[in-house]
Amino acid sequence: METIHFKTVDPVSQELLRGASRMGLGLNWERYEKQQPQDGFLRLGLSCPYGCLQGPCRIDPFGRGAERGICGLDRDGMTAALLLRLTLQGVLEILPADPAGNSGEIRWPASIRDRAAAAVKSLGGAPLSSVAISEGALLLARPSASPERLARQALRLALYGTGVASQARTKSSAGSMPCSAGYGLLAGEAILVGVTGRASQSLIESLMEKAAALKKPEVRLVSLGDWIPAGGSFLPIACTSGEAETVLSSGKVNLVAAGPGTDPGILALCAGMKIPVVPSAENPDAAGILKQASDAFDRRSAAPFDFDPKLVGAGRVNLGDAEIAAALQEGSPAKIALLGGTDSLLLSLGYLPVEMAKALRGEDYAVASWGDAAAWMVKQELPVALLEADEGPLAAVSALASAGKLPLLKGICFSGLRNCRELTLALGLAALGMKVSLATPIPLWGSEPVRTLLREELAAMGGILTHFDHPVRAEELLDWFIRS
Amino acid sequence: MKVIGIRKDRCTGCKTCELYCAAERCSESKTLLGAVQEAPAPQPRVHVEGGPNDAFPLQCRHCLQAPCIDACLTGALCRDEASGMVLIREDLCIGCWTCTAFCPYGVITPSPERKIALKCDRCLYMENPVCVDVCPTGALEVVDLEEIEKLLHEKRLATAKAAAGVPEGSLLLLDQGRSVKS
Amino acid sequence: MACIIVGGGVAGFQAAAACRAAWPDRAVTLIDAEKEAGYYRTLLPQFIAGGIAEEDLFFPPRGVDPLLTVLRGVRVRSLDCKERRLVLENGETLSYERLILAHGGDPYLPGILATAACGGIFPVRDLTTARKTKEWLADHRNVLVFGGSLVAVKTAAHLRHAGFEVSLVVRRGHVLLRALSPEAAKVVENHLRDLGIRLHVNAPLEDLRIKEGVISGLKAGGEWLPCDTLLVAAGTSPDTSFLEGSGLLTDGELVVNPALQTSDPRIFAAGDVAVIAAGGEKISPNTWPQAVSQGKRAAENLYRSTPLPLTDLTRINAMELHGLAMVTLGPPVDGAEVISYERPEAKVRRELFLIGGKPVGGALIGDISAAGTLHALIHSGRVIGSGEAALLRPQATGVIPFPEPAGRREALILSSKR
Repeated sequence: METIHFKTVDPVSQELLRGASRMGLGLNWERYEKQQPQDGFLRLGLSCPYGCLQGPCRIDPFGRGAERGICGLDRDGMTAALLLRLTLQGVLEILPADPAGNSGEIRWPASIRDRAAAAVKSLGGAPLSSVAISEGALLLARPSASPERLARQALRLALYGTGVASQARTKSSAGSMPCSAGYGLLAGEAILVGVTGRASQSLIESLMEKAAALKKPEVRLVSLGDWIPAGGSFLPIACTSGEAETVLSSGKVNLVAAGPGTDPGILALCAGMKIPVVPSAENPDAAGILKQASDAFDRRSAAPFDFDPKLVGAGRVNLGDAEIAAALQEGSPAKIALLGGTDSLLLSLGYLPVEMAKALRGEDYAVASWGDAAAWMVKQELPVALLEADEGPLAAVSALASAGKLPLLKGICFSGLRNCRELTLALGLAALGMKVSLATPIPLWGSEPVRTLLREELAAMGGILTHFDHPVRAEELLDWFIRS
Repeated sequence: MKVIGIRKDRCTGCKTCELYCAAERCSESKTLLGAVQEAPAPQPRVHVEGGPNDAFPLQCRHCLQAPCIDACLTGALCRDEASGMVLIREDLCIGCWTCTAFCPYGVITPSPERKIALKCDRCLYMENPVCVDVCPTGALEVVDLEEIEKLLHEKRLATAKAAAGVPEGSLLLLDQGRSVKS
Repeated sequence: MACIIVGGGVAGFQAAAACRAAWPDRAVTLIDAEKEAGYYRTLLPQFIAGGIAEEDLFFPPRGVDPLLTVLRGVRVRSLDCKERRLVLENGETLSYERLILAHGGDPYLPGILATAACGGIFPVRDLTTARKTKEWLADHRNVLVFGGSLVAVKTAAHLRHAGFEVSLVVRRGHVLLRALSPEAAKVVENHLRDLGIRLHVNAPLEDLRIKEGVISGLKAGGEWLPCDTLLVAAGTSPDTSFLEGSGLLTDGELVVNPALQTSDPRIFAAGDVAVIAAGGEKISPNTWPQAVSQGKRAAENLYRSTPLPLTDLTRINAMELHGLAMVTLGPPVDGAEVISYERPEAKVRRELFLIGGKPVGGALIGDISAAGTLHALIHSGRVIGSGEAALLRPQATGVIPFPEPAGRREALILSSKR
């Protein structure tokens, strides 16, 4: 059985985890362990994703039990349908980013327009529009389409979703913004307000405004893993999303402003530790929140965990194409690697970002990162280019393409997947002819034909999607980058 | 003697035990995602049996009078004196499948590719059987038969005592342990 | 001397072991006519074909037991029930308190073969002959196997697999006449042909051709079949020679009750030599697993005041014929209803014979899943339900039947009463 030996590479986090376990706080790791072993059928893609609700039917991966679902669907159809279902969900997650622009045909940025056109042609040539969504939904209504059809539709949707994301991006992105990350942000006597999820911009800004006036103790707003732009910079990031609960267990955070997308585990932990939680969706009053935080600060336990103020790294997140291109080509590297994405408990937290950034730098790669991985690299003060958390890799591809430097890009690796959106983006990037890898397994191992199909379809577009049947090891991933 | 006990009320029929047994005990890679790519396909030594409301995992019961041992043509099936379990010596098994015809539980499975019969050995050389470790609902448990005997004895004793205290002609509700006047 | 066991086959050895376990203070003497005793007779076909080494034929050695004596190469001349003693061919006498007769049978050699005086003819029965056969086969490649028994089929398949030219000649009906229905036998026969065995069924033995003292052909079913080796596996006949005049025989047969006791309560019998009278029938299963359980039960019954009967007298057997697995659950019975599942293209036929709704036998060819469960079902003597009938459908798993709506069973009845 797969097991994990080290939960995190950060020694402070390890200390916090020990403290949490002394206090009997379970945190996400305990939940992870209690989930083991996870449903083998789902992990393999052999649990039917169709909605007939007679099952879910499952197919015996070793070919000695059920070979087909009740309707007659075989393992290849089942796996391909799951891929389509995940991609469809990913597209639906992307749509709100560009509420106005997703009705017609995608308007790709000029730099990748040709690649997109080639990909669309390879997938049959029908122009990409929101019709792909209803087509996908229809295919998932009853299992009648072939695995080929399902896989191709998944790729079309991934391409469409990636197009919508890039459309949304071209409208809003320019310049760069400073950021900082590390446990030092939690050091000293201060009222700490942790922000999680997609908290509303206006709330953050009014909180910052009100907090600026307060001294002794001062009030600090920190993000617990999310990259939240506010007032010309990113909210300081205390920890990555995988360690939000670890940090909360320290007792230093006095209040949590929870935006949509906050994990239920965080809310439950706050309830257990009597940390007040303010849902940002309810448009609360900033002064009231700070009052609550200050009250909680006064009630704080005698000796909460103290952090070393030196543990802070800083950087700049590049948003505009020009800035991204400049950052990636600083020092005129011959090779560029993109490595970013979300924390995954399948791997020691921080292991891939930190190990890989160092190793790739050692091999003369320029490294760019986004998301949790980027926060890890900032914490460690590694010399890497930082990208926006959601569209980072897409932005980098588009920027490099406009600068004519796309051949320098040797690969894009997702260190973990937070949601279907990221999977869709990874697929979409591969469909645009990129070399993409996923550090954690995706549920395609139940069907070799589907994996082959996906590989061949992507190869026809010049792209690669590498995924592993185990959480990837750093040396495998380094090898993957180097062999391109 | 220790055996794998089953809490029938807890089994949901999810077959997790099957998948991980095959991966751990029959594959080269020892991981599920790796095992499914292997040929010949790994085989589990536990099977989920029964219908929608009474699923339960079934593996070798290590019968005290095991018909498979008598049936074995080569002596490959033997009882391990230390653990009391029925084991297959794979070096002696010639794949004649006679044992499979004698196991009333149907838990000895032929592996035609490897030309040996497979059966549960309670993961003898591991700390805990895989199926027990992976069961998400705790339906599988390693239990000591003597402990079970003790429990049954206590239950019998309690029942007998309860029965003795019931006036003649009245009804004893065993589950509640109290009597009802008729 | 306490107990004597005659016969060093599996029944005898099991009896000896069980006797030492059940009656630890009784001494046991096991006597056997062969120079070697204690080997797996069922492996002889593999051994002859070179598929198994000689040292792997023997039972795993047991620890030293001062109360167990094994005498090899000793033949019994006669039995004196009154004096409770055995007279050996070397003139010695052995007296016993209890006796188990488990000396098996002799290979049955039909008429002209029994008297043929030439090289190249071997019965498949004992190790001594098997060794000679193996030696002979080193420079003879054209083998004719005579007989339709399990041993004959196994021998033919193993030799063919080892690269020999093999013909299988079956005197009557089809292969495994005593175990399979004609339909099931057809599947096996097709498989044997696919292995490259030349099959001659319903071919009664007519003549032999001998060239320079060695067999060179056999006429069966009106056809001359050339060969340089003839292996005979046409069944065994119980060896009752030294029992003549002992008073134990009924019509030349050693008949025992289901507790394996002969007419002399001190004498038991087990294995091929025993004919069990149970429920108005005479049964001699002649299978390996039966020999094991009979040997065991006979020994356990030796000193019991009320010997326990052997309840499972089914003739279950299993084998793997190089790609075709099969289990026979009991012979076809006249007038039985047959329920079956068939997929000839995959060489699968699974059938059960029912009398009054109770399964009494059957066969699983090509797919042997649920064999043990069906065996248990036959043994239970219950009327079969539709869920249990569904066990006939081949399945890799799922031996505990999943209850099905009534009425489905009709679909399984493919052939009507025979």
